[in-house]
Amino acid sequence: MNHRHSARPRLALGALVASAALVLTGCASGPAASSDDDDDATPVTGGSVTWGVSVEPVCYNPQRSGQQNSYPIIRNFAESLVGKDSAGEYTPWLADSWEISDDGLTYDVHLREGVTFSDGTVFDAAAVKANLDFVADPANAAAAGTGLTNFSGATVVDASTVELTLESPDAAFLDTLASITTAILSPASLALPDNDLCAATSDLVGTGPFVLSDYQAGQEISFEANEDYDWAPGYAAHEGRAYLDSVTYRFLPEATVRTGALTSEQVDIIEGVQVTDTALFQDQPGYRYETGPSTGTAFSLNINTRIAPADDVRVRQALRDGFDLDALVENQYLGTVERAFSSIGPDSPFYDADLEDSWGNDVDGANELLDEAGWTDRDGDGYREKDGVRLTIVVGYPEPYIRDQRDVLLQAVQAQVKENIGLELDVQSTTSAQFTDELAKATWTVYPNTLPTSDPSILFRSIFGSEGFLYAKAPEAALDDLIAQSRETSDPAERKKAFDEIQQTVVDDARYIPLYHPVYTVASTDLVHGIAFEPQLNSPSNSYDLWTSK
Amino acid sequence: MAIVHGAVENDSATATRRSSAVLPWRRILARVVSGAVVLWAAVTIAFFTLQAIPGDIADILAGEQTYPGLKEAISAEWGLDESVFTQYLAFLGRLVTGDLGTSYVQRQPVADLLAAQVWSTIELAVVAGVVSALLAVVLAVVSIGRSRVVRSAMSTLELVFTSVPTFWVGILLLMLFSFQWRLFPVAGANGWQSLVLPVVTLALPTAGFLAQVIRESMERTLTEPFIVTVRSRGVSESLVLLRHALGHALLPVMTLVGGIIGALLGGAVITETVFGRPGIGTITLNAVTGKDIPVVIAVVLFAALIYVVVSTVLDILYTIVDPRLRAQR
Repeated sequence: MNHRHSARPRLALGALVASAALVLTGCASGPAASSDDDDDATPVTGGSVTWGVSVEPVCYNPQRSGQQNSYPIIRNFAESLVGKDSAGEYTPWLADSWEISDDGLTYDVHLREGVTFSDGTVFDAAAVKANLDFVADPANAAAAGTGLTNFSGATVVDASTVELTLESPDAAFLDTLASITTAILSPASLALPDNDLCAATSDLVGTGPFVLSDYQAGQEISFEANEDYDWAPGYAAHEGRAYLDSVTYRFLPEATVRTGALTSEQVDIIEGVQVTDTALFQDQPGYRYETGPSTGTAFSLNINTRIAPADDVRVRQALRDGFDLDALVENQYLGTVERAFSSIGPDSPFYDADLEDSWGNDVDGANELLDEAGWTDRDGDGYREKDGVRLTIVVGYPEPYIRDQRDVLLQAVQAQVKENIGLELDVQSTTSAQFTDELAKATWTVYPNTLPTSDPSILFRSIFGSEGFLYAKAPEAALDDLIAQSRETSDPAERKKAFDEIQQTVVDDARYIPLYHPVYTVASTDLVHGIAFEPQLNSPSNSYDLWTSK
Repeated sequence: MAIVHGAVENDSATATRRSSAVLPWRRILARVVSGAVVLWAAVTIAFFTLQAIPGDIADILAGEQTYPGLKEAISAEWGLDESVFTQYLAFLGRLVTGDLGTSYVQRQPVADLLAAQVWSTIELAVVAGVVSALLAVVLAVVSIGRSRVVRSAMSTLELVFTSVPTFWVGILLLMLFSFQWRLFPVAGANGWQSLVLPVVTLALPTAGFLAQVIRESMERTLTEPFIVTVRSRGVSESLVLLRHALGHALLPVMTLVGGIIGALLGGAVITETVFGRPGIGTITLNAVTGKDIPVVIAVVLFAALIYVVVSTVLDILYTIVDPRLRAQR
């Protein structure tokens, strides 16, 4: 629950009143109060902060990295045209303002003036055009290319105006411009030889509040404040240069080690707090504990509706309702995450709250559905049978994606549905190559996954669209029309209608069983202030607003 | 030097001098050739394992990367439209010229990635190797000839060293010496302080195992007739132990060095992860979790190379050191 309070007070522009109100509610609800109190303290410029982070990025190029955990680090030097605040609104950043033509095909983007890349190059329309053209060109093999499939080109109008044109109206386009994958790099960085594009070197140059100062692979990366920086995004808590003189990210892949490093004051702030260590920091004197917002997809079971016995909607619904999800999530994550009702996170403005309490833990109903579907016999192990075949559904969980004890959660579900409804949920850990293969042949049965946040049109296109990965071989099952509808209109109410229908459809026919909403967790000593989460990513923000009273 | 001395006393001095002029070239050549064959087998197995994994090879090599243009780039580099045999020959050819391929996840030549971090692992493994050898010798020498109680206590301690998981030892050492007493830093590779805990973590299992081998071998040596001769010359008991018994005991240890190198490299993966140190272990872990297959293949081949080179060199040294083997050429 903390994240609703913690994420918002960081909004500077026009949110001060709202922020004060939230501080009050924060105090009233108790636990969150200690961290919110500090927002009244006056930030200090200077000093340094050391992070202990769980993952060492394999690629530091914002346009190429596909790794969620690399983004908070990359955001220190790489910035986007548009910012996104926690209400889902777009704010100025490297672009001051933009106008969208009535047909939704042309974006006139007015760039902020006086911005320079840290190598001294002036940030202008030509640099923006160079970046977007580069990213959109398949020959450059940039990860960001996938978000720019509608993009047809950029034209330099004058030094501070660039005109972007689309092939078809795209309500997700501003989200693409706010994405870290379309961050604007110095044109010189684009010209680097292909093999040097990912490395953290001084050749990888952006406009951000920090500049790379030192990198030791496998150990740490450090940044120094960019003294000239004066173009913070609209959602930031302050303007001007970063408060900190320097910031270091140390790579500590072991959760226990991160915890120990924080308690022994060897680092100031850690990310990825182990569930069992939460109690050491949450509401403890001397520490802060914050959780990020959740706007990506829930951790969920995607069910292949074309493979028996899950081709029968009654079997899928029985699985959906055959276990006590609230209890299992609470038991496993000790209240650090919320049980899910829908496919997208509750902090998304497009979250369908009507789904709350509408499904789950209806064992009698689930048993009736299975009886009705003809699974009436029982075998020696207590599982249901039909015509001598056991009621079995295989869950293939690719081993590399298993984290946060999600496999343990699935095993708990497995035990409950066996006990409650006599269904054998066969949870197997597989290889990712095996999954790729099953995907190509459309023989996958149940695929557990979660997608990092993005505009819901893009999220739903990836999961439920025929261009997405799961239903590519079953266009009839795809929700292409609704997804297209949500993407073509820019009216939020219209979009919400389409999104609500998608969210309800997939849960109603139980092709998709949401389990819980993953969130980022951060713990720090109480000498670190200004912890925030970047709404476009859900992950911790860069270190721009951090300050220390050490 | 102790080894040479021990060996000399075992044989007639004249025989040793005569044959030391001529190195056992045929044996050395045979050893080098068999090393090359092992390497070739490792490369071949790695290549055909990749072929055997279900799924498209370009997908496997790409890891999670799916951006446009990538599959074409991989196809071109690996010659995926050629026959498997042609691909295999090209793969061998690239390796021979030192080209370990490209990491598509990290967009860098794999050789550069390894070269940047290999020294950190070598530093850790060599220091841990030396420490474990010293520790093993101390444990063995201190316990030999003592009462049954002392010997079994030492032996139990060694078994504990050998059998506790590296991961657990690392965390335990960190909790005590870094989190609690704050004597050593938690992570990184800055100065000797940051090397202490990882070295101890990595050295303990090897030390425990080595100490058992050394003690058993020393005990056997002490029953040999030449020890009686040595003692009859009035040599002090500590000199008997350190110079003669230990010298002989180190010979069987040499044959184990290949396995020890393997254990140190394997342990380095876990140690580096726990202590957040740069190195091959960290590269391996990141490559496996990031599905960076070209890097995984390179690490496997690198480990095979180290193993083959070290065991070949040791084998050759062994032949030179132990005159009994030279007679068999």
